[in-house]
This record gives sequence, structure tokens and C-alpha cells, in this order.
Amino acid sequence: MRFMLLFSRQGKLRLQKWYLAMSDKERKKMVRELMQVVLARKPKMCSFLEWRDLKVVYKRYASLYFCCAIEGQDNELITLELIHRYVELLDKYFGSVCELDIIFNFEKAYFILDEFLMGGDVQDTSKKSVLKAIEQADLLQEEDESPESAVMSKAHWEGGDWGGGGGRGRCLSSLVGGKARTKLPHTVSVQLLYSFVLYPVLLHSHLPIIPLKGSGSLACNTMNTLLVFNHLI
Amino acid sequence: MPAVSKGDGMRGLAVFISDIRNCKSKEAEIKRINKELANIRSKFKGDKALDGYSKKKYVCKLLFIFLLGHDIDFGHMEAVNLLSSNRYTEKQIGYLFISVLVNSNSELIRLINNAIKNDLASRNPTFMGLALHCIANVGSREMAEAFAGEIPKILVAGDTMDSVKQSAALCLLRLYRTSPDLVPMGDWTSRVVHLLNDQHLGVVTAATSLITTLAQKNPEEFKTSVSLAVSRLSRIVTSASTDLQDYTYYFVPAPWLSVKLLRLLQCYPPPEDPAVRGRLTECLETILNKAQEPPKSKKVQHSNAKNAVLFEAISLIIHHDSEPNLLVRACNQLGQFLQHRETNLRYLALESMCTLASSEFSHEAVKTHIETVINALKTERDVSVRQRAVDLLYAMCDRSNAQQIVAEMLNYLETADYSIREEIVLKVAILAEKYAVDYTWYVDTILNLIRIAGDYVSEEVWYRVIQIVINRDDVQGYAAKTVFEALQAPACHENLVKVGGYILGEFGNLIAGDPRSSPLIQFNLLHSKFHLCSVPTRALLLSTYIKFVNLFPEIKTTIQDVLRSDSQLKNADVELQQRAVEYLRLSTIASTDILATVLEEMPPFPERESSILAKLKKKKGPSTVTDLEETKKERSADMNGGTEPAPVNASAVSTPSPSADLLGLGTGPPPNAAPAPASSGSLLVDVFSEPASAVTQLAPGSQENFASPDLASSELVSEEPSEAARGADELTHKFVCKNNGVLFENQLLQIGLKSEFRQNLGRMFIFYGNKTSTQFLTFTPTLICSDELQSNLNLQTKPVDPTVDGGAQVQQVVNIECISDFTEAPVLNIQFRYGGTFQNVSVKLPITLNKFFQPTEMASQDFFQRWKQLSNPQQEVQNIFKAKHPMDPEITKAKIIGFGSALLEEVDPNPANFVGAGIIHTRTAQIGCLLRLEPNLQAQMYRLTLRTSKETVSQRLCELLSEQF
Repeated sequence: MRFMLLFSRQGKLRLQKWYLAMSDKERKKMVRELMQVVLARKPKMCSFLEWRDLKVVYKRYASLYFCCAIEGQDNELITLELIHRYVELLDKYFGSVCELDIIFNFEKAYFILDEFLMGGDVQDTSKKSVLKAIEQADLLQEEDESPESAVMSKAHWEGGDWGGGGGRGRCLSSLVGGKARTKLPHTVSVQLLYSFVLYPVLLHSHLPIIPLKGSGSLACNTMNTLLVFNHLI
Repeated sequence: MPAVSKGDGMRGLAVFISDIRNCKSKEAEIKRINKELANIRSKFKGDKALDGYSKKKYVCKLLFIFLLGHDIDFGHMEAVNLLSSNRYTEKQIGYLFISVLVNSNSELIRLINNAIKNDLASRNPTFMGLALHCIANVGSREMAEAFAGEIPKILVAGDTMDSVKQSAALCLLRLYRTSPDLVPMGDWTSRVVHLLNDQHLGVVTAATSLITTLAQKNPEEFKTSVSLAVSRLSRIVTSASTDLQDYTYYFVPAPWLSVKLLRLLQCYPPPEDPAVRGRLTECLETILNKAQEPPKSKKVQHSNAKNAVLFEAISLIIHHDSEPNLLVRACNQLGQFLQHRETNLRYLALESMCTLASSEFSHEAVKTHIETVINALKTERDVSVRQRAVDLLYAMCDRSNAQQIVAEMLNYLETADYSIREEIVLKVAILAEKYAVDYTWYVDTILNLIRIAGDYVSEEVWYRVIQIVINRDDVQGYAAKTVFEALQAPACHENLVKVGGYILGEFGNLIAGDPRSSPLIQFNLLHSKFHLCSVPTRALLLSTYIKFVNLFPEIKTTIQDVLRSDSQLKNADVELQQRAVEYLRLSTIASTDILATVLEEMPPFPERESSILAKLKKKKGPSTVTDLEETKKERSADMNGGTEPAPVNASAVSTPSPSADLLGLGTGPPPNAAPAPASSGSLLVDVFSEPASAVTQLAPGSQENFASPDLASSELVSEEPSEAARGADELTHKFVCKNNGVLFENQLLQIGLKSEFRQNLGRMFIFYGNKTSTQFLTFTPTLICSDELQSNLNLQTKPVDPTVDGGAQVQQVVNIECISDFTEAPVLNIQFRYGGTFQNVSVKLPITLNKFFQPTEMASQDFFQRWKQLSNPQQEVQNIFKAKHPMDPEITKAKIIGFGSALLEEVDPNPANFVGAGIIHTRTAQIGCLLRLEPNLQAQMYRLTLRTSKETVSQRLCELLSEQF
């Protein structure tokens, strides 16, 4: 694989991963060009296209396009499923992942991708082993955060980063603390954040990429998305 | 809870991100970002040392800003500092930043490498994983230099954890892709092969990727992987869907690994061991059988994964091209997919069938699907699928169905997408030519092409139709009649005017007997289009007019009137004016005999590869249908050993497939030869020959005036390409006796030379041809001379444009002055970026001392007198050597003359010997040279004696000339 891009229906790049050396300028040009090509394609068109000297495999999940550029002899269908496996991993980790999760936790999205793919080749296809690796990393992180540092970091955001919104910050922190026992607290924190702060300006990026059975898929239908499957968890 | 601290840790970042998302406008966003950048900068520069957490947070913010598309020019140092942190999260963010914002700053790379080294040595698998990821993400040469030796050790060490092994395998793969020369082969390779037997399927998956890439370049070294891969594959395909636990993907056992194993097997010919071969055939049959079973799940993931394996298996079957039974089954399977409701499957089936069409076993089976494919062309809603259908029709075309396919393609052309019209035009033109039994059909087809899609008919297409009409006299009358009729249309395309003008100019006499197409009517018809045409077409028409003067003396005055009119004689365009003036003069003063000689019918064109085909190849790039045979050849070149590939090639030659014959594979190199030069040679030949053919087309009547230099070079070039693959020195030797030709060629680039020398001065035209469809960037050729050479040879040139468009050619002129005699050759170094990778090519520039030779004629007496004068032992150099080429006296004479000296006849008492004389011109001195070459046919040896007034010159000339025979 040469590179992987995640971008929204509005043409906002959400994640980019390059497996070949290239100047920044060239990259930007390629991203712009490819986004244009892919966004112009209609639903039901095939997921593969020839572009420059590469083959592009893409798939849309809710508001997000996942797009891989592969070489001539690579297998298109397995790449399509590679994308799906990555989405599943994100979904499992974030708990019905949505575009916002990827925006706010972009570094996590990168880490998960790195556990899954390396240098453009699949490292491990087992969902369990990838998630185990990520969990281990998260555990390490927990050990890292000694009591002092936790306090320090807390003091830090209370002191400055929240600016005038100190009250709201505290409120959020307590809420997050309260919810922390659930399995996927960071998702919760993000959802809280946007429900308080961001909701009015959002389009549909809060919808799960993989809709839940029932409610989720209904919401997706209303936005007329292209969901080839409905499932999961 | 980890998640809480994680949430806390990134709170500042989350707020920043939501701020950005709240921005109502681009300006507001930029303002917010600038504020943040200023803040971060002041924090980094501040007196207070930042703790790890803050550093991490700010680095992460920078990363986010970068990912929004803004430039980041600081923070690298802080990120590097994070690498040495003991906290996992800080280290992780540091590595992420480095991976995303690679900077070739060497200072930094050293620091990064240090951190990586520490982490690799830490024996902490998580840290090792991070470090390996960073190497794989950056993958720069510096990193390869630092770690390419280390990683294989980690990979095969007994105590390495599985996850680290996986990372190490893929990391090594990445390094090998960027800098194969830096990855040393060694003992570890055999141990890597055995990873295919590993318990852990993740390790096997990663190792298979690595082995596949390595085996492509070093087939011998990894030969044992074949049997291991087959047995692994066999275990997977026969396993129940639950056996492999988490490696089963939607009821398909280990699809990724299966695909990779099948890819690996495609690096090799069919296994020789009958047991292994039988087992593999069984596997492939099982995979084909499974395709017929009812699906275990309705989910698209299930069918995709299953079909991914199936398509890869079919690729392997096609690659082996040895089991007719499997090939036909594969073809039937694909036939089912052609009508599948999933667009993706239809697309892939069309694509895969294209390759099947070239196998002699399945060509007929593919042909049975012609109706479906034609239907796809008409009904598919997705242009990329229709494109595949066009490709497949092209691939399955042969004599039996050519008329139908060409008709369907022409039909489709009327409504085809603009993006693929030009390609379809080329394909139609090629098929029509290739399978024309009846050349009237060919002419009709091409004229139809021009009528339907005139704008997309490139020069090559109409040049070609003229070449063919000129070379085949049975079709000339028909062609003249047809173009005459086509020109009657009130609005016809300019390309038709060109073809019509040319053909009527040559063969208008064949239809002049019919009163409906009398000379005057023909002339008036053409001239009625004249004013609507562009300058080149008008120039061509003027040539047609002068040919008419010759063909039809009765309308001479009419034509002279036209030529004489102010709009011609005083035309603002120099070319048109000159033609009008010259043709008018010619028609007035030349006798009919002279006219008839000057304007004689064009001689037949030399047969060579269709320029259209070259154009199509150029257009489609390296990995497409038209290059099928080449791809095959490339694969077979990858194959191990020279015994097995034979069937592949044999089939390519014998199959009726269109591309096989067109590419002239029959005369191609043996399968083990480097595939690139042979296959692509023809392509650039065309870049060279285009201007030449343009000239001949435009000025057909006065070919002599224009043609000689260009034509000569194109002829020369077309002989070259196969030789280009030889060693560099040999290449230089090739140029010793001539001045034009192809200096260098690989898959990307072709370098051609034309040079001329007079006395101590010379000029060399270097032509750089981009053979790909992608731009070369930062294209910089440099001439490198050693200090010594610099004082003897003065080279001057101007830089060329740094971008070379796909298929384009740029020219560079080098002015040369020889100051004193020299032995070395200057080196031409070319650097450029192609598709993101950096390319570096160095070749010796064939500027040799003998280029400054001026021949001197002298009588026998003078020769011997001078010979005796140069009797000082230092002045003579003698070499006795074995003949490397057949000892043909005519060739030898030509070489001596090409070398630059005069060939003196009747000087040597022995008529079998060759004697030459000349003067080497340098700025500082003129050096007289005498040479004598005595062949000994019996011993197949030569004795070469050089006498010059300067020892070094004798020495060098003797060296150079000895290599020629």
C-alpha cells in the first residue's frame, strides 16, 4: 500500500498515512486531487479506480471515506476488507466510533492503524491481538501516570487551558470521572464535549460510522448514507 | 482507570480542537492557530523547563495543526526529547510526531536514531515496537544505514516476542523497499523462510510479506519457501472455518495470509516437485470449488474475503499458465462474475479476464463471453467498469471477432466518456490494422474514427493510415475514392483534411478518370477546406497542390494562380510563404521530367513497430492490459531459473492474442534478460521518430531537404535499445565509432545522444525521454569531470527544466572543447524524483579522444616516410588481441572511418591490412596519428599498431580502437 487517507464528505482530511517518501507539497496535491475524484463518484459505483499509476480502493462509512492507494499487483478486495477491519478496530476501541472520535482522538486512530498496518503491509489480522496491543499500551499509560503527575496535569488544565470556562471544565471533569468506570470512557468524554460545546455547528460527524442495530441505522438512513452492512457488537 | 488519565492528559488538546471546530471561517481558524502557535513557541522558548506532560501536549497540538494542513517548522527538538522519556505516552507521541513530520534534517535524524537504538536495545517489547514502527514509518536511507544490519538479528533471534517479530519483519520490508542495497542477505534468510512454519499466524502473515518482496529480487535464496508456502496454504484452505479462531474473518479462514501466500507463489514457476505441485493444484481446486458453495454468511465481508482469495488464486493459475483445466475453470468462474450484481466483482472479473485472454489455453474460453462484455460496455453505469470492458475486448480480439469488436468499439465511441476516448481511438486503430484482412475495411474504420472522434485522433493514427496506404498498392485507389467521398461532407474534421490532402496528392490520379472526381473537382474540394485549417494543415495542402501540378498538368494554371495569390505569397506565416514561393517557382521553371522526379510517388515506408502502439503504451503506463505480455515477461524474469519460464514465452509467441504479436515478442530477449529495455525500447524510439515522421509527412514532396538528419537518427535509434542493457563501458565503446544513439535506458528514462565534432570543438545534444506517464520532478542532470579531465576537456551546458512531463522529452546541449588529450570520460549524473521516490542515474558520456580526429589522406610514400619519423619507441603502441566480432573487412573499414581517421587504400603492401591516418585536434596541439591494423583470419586475432607524436595519445587511441573489433 502506498498511502491511506480518511476524509469527510465535506472534503476535510481526517487522517493521512503515507508509506512512501514524498514532499509535503506533492502530498497535498495528491490528496486534493484524489479527494476530488472520489467525492465525485456516485453511490453504487465500484470501489476501485485507476488513478495515476496506482489503484485506489475506497469505501464510505457514514460521513467518512476510507481510501487506500495500492500498487498494480495488489489485491483490491482484500484491501477493501483491510479498510473494514480497521473500521472494526476503531469501532471496538471507541465503541460505535464516529467521525468525531477520530477528530478528537486522532493520535489514537494513528496508534491503532500502526498496530494494524506497518509500512503499508498488514501486521496482524487478528482483531484480538491488535486490540490487546492497544490495551497493553493503555495500561502502560496508566502506570505512567503517577499520582503527582495526575495532579499536575489536572492543575494544569484547570489553571489555563480552559480559559474562561473553568466551571464547565470542572463539571465535565466530574462527569468524566463519574463515567470512568464504563468501558469506553474517552468516547464518553468526547460525546459530552460536543454535546455541550460543539453540537450546534456539527453536521453529522457524531453519528456512528458503523450504525448500531436499530437506532443508529435509522439515523443513518435519514442522512441517506451508503451503508452496505448493518451490524455489530 | 487508564482512560481517565488519558482524557485528562489531552484535555488542553481537546479544547483546542473544539475551538478550531467552532471557528466560523477559515480566517478565524488561521487566527486561532496562529495564536496557539505563538503560545507554543513561547512555551518552548520560555525559561521554565517544560515537564514531559506539557511537552507532549504541545507537540500533539502541533501535530494536529500540521494535520489540518498548516506548515510546522518547529517543535522537532521537543519531539525528539520526548523519545527519550521513560513514560510510554510521551515516547509514543514523540514517535508519532517524528513519523508524521519527517524531516531530513540530518542533525535530527542522528538524535532520532540514537533514541531508536536505545529503545531497540531496551528489550522492552512495547518500546521496541515503537522504535520499529518509527523506522518503518520514516524509512529513510539514513535509517536504513543505521538499522538494516540490526533488524534481521532481532527478527530471527530465538527469544524475540511474536509481536516484535512481526514488527521487525515489516520494518525490514520497508527498509528493503527504499534501500535494497543496504539490507545484507545472509544466514538470516533461511531462518526467515522457516517463519512460514511459525505457530503464530500473525508472524506468518508478516513474514510472508517480507519473503515475497525479497524473493522477487533473490529467487534462488528463497526457493525453499515454495514448498513451505504450499503446505501452509493447504492447511488453511482445508481447515474448518472455526479452526483458526481469530484469524478467521467472516467465516473465511485467514484470507490475508492466503492472499499473501498465493502472491508469494507467483514469484516462482510451478513447483518442480510433483508432490508439491499436486498439493498446490489441490489447493487451487478447493478454492475454485468453494466459490460454488453457498455462502456461509450474507455479509459482503464474507464474500469479499472469499473472492479476494479466489482472485489471487486465479492470478496464480494465470501466472503458471500450465494447467489447461484450471485455466478454463478460472475463466468460467470469472464468466459468472461478469454478470454478478456486485459492481466490484464485475470490475475485477473484467480485469482478471484480460490476463486470461492472453493464455493460449483459455483464449477461446474468454472469447465465449464476448456478448456479455459488449453488453457491459453499453449498460455499465460506472466509467471505470466500462474502461475495463474496453480493455477486455481489446485483449480478446483476434481475427475471428475483430470486425465485431471494432464495430462495437466504434459504436461505443460515439457516446464514450471524454476521459477514455483517446485510448479507445488508439485501440480501434491498432486492432483495425492488426486484423485487417481486407484493407478497405481498415481504411473505412480509420475514416470512421476520424469522423466520430476526430479531436481524439492523434497524429500517430493518421500518420499510420497514410503509411499503410502507401505501402499497400491494392488499397490506394479505394482510399482515394473514400477520402474523396468523406471530404464531401460540409463539416469535416481537420484530421480528415490532412489524410485526404495527403492521399489525394499521392493517389488522386487513380480516381481522376471518373468525371465526378476530375482533377479540378478534387482540387476545388480540397481548396474549399483550406481557409478553415490550421497552419500545419495548410502547409500540407500546399504540398498536395504541387503534387497535383505534377499529376494533373491540366490544372497547373489554376494552382499557380492560387499559389500566386497574395494570401499565399505574402502570408505572414514563414513556412506557408516559403512553400508557396518555392512551389510556384518549381512549377514555373522545372521541366515535366524534373517535376516528375521531384514529386515522385512516396517510396514505401520501412516496416517497423506501429507508432500507435507505442503511443498507447505510453498513455496507459506500465501496469495495464496492453502491457500484459511485458508484465508476464517481467514476472518470468523474476522467476527462478531458466527452465520453467519457457512455456510462458512459447505461449506468448504462439498464441493468437493481439498483444503478443504486436509487441514482437518473438524477437524479444530470453526470459532471464532484464525485461525493461527490450519491452520499452520501442516506446522511446517513437519519441525520437515523431519529429522525423512529422517532417516527412508535412513536406512529402521535398523529403530530401528535410529528412536526412532526423531520419538518420531515428533509424539509428531504432537499432539500439536491446543493446542498452549492456555494461556501461561497453556502451561507451559502442559510441567510439559513432555519434548518435541511445546512451541509456531503463523503465523510466531514456537518454539519447546526437553529437557532432569539428576539429577541437564539438556539440552534443542529450535527449532525456520520460517513458512514464508521470512527471519527473527536480530533474537535474549534472556533468562530472575529475580535476584532471577538467583541465583537458572543457564542457559547457545550461541547466534543463526541472520538470519533465510524462511521455515528454527534453533536450540539453553540451558544448565541448578539447584542450589537451585525455583518457577519462566525463560522467553524466541525473537525479530526479519519480512518484515520490528519488532516482539517481550515472552514465559515462561517450566523449572520447578520437572524436577530435580529422582524417588526412596521403599517398603510400608519404605514409611510410612519416611512419619512419615516428619510430621513437614511446611513440608506438601495439596491441594484439582476439577478435570479438566476425572479421568482416567491410565492417572493419566502416569502423576505422567511424573512428575518425582516413582509410588509406593501397598503402600497405598486404591488401588484407588496414592503414589509416589523421590528426587529433586539441586547443594546445595537433597530433598526427598513423595506424595499422593487421587481421589474422586463421587465428581470429588482430594486431593494431598506433604511432603518434605523443605517447599518451598513442596509448589511448590504441585502447579505444582495440575494443572495436
